[in-house]
Amino acid sequence: MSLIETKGVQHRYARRDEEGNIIQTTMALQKITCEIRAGEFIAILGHNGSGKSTLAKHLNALLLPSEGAVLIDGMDTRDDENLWHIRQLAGMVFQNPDNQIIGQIVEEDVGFGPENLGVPTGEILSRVDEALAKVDMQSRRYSSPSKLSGGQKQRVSIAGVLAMKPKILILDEPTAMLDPAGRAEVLATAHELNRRDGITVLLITHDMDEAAGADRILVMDRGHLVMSGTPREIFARSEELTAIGLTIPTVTQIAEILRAHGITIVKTPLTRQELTEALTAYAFALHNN
Amino acid sequence: MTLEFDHVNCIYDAETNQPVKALSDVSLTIGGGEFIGLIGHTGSGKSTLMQHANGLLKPTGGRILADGTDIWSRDYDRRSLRARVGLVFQYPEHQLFETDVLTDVCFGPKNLGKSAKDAEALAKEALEQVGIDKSQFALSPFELSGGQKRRVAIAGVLSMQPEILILDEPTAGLDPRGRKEILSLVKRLHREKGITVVLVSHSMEDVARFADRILVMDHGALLLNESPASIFSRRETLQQIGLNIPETLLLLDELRRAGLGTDDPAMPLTPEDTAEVILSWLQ
Repeated sequence: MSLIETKGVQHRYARRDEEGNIIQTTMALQKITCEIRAGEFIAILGHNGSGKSTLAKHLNALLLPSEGAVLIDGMDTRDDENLWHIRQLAGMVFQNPDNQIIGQIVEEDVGFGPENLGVPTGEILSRVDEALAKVDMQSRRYSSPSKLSGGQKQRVSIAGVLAMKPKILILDEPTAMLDPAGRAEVLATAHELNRRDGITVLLITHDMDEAAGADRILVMDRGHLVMSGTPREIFARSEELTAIGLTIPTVTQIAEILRAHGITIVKTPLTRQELTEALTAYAFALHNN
Repeated sequence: MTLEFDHVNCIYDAETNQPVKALSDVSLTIGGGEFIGLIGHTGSGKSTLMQHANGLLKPTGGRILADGTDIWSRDYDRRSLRARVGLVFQYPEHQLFETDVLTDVCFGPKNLGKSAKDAEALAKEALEQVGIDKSQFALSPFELSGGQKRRVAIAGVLSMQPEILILDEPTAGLDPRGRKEILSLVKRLHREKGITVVLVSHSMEDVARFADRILVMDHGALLLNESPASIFSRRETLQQIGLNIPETLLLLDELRRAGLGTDDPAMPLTPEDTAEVILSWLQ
């Protein structure tokens, strides 16, 4: 069974006038059907307003489908009785680190979730220990969040989710406001949690290089799920991606131009190393002819 | 106009036992219609520097001169300085507040004492420059897309006719198409209006493609102030202070290490130029 399953999910946003009459409706999600298996690292790409965040908010029942259904570990998000369990299973981290940290010190912030669930104090402390260790922030346990860098704040936000013992970590553009060092920290943390602890990660991003590191990419366009595949499959479709306002990694773009000039590159490269290997092979073949 | 920073220092919390030196002996000149890139990691002092440039913050040491006059001298008109040095903050669309697009953009010139009619003319011109269609003037700013909102916010600063335009991370949070739109808009304003542009960014790629000169900040100090080519010949220094090197240059370095390249110091920044270098190497 899939950990996450969406069946024909539609989501309608209504605009209302001052009297509360609906004057316009927008379909933010259009018949989204997909399955995500436990342990996958998924990147979700799409232009601004394509429905990425709306979809993500359906996965922990922050939003409910207008039509269709979302099943998290088999539980329907529309069923009120599942709500707390689903929110515990699927935790979310947002773009702005300053909008989601509430504790005066790091420890308190990370413990907020389990405390809210009524977890006994002793266990809260051990969960906080464990969560901070997983994001490598133990040394800042008693720091004020305001003294942390952007990347550290996001890692604390992730620890706050981990303290709930989730199976799914949803990251909504977690690196958009960070500098390159902060980005690298947060991304490495997400991959580590996926690889070491088997947490299913959904990463919403505009950064093609971040997406290239995922097991699978989902591409959204105007509320539709238009592509699903491995990064190599997705980034081989550069024309379609460009048409919907996206792009492909720089290295992949360079490889495409080289191919157009007759250079043989068998496997679409996603990293510098892959392109270097392909060109080494090409130069070797050239030399031996 | 020309802005000159003359040994500028800025210390926060000077009276406490943990003073923070946000700017440390910064000297530089901005002006002359140049396109300047300003990069540095979070906390390096970029934003503090910007806020000194139009008199929002007062230096705790040193002077800032606008066309030779100290902007903190007693009679200096700092209000008009704030119009001449336009500052577009991060996520500027969060500062849109009026009921419709046109009124929002009129706010700046009205605040400078322009008549309603003049303000509207300036606002319309600015909106046109950023590519917002007349049909959208009466919309609520909140009905626009993210990229459109940001362009309206930029128009809000342009309507005050700045001679120097400083933009702090203008592409943050936008999708690739939105990024491209904003960057080509900035480039066009620079070219067509002759405005001096300072583009503040984490992204070396964005800055390097357009800038004549790049300023690199680290720990409050101005570490480098050079042409892009000269900056990129110091890749190790940049990496040490946590800045990213354009992917194109890293790729060429890796190909050289694999014995596929020559030592020619080519520094292409676009995929097209990079492919051209690689093709010349393979022949």
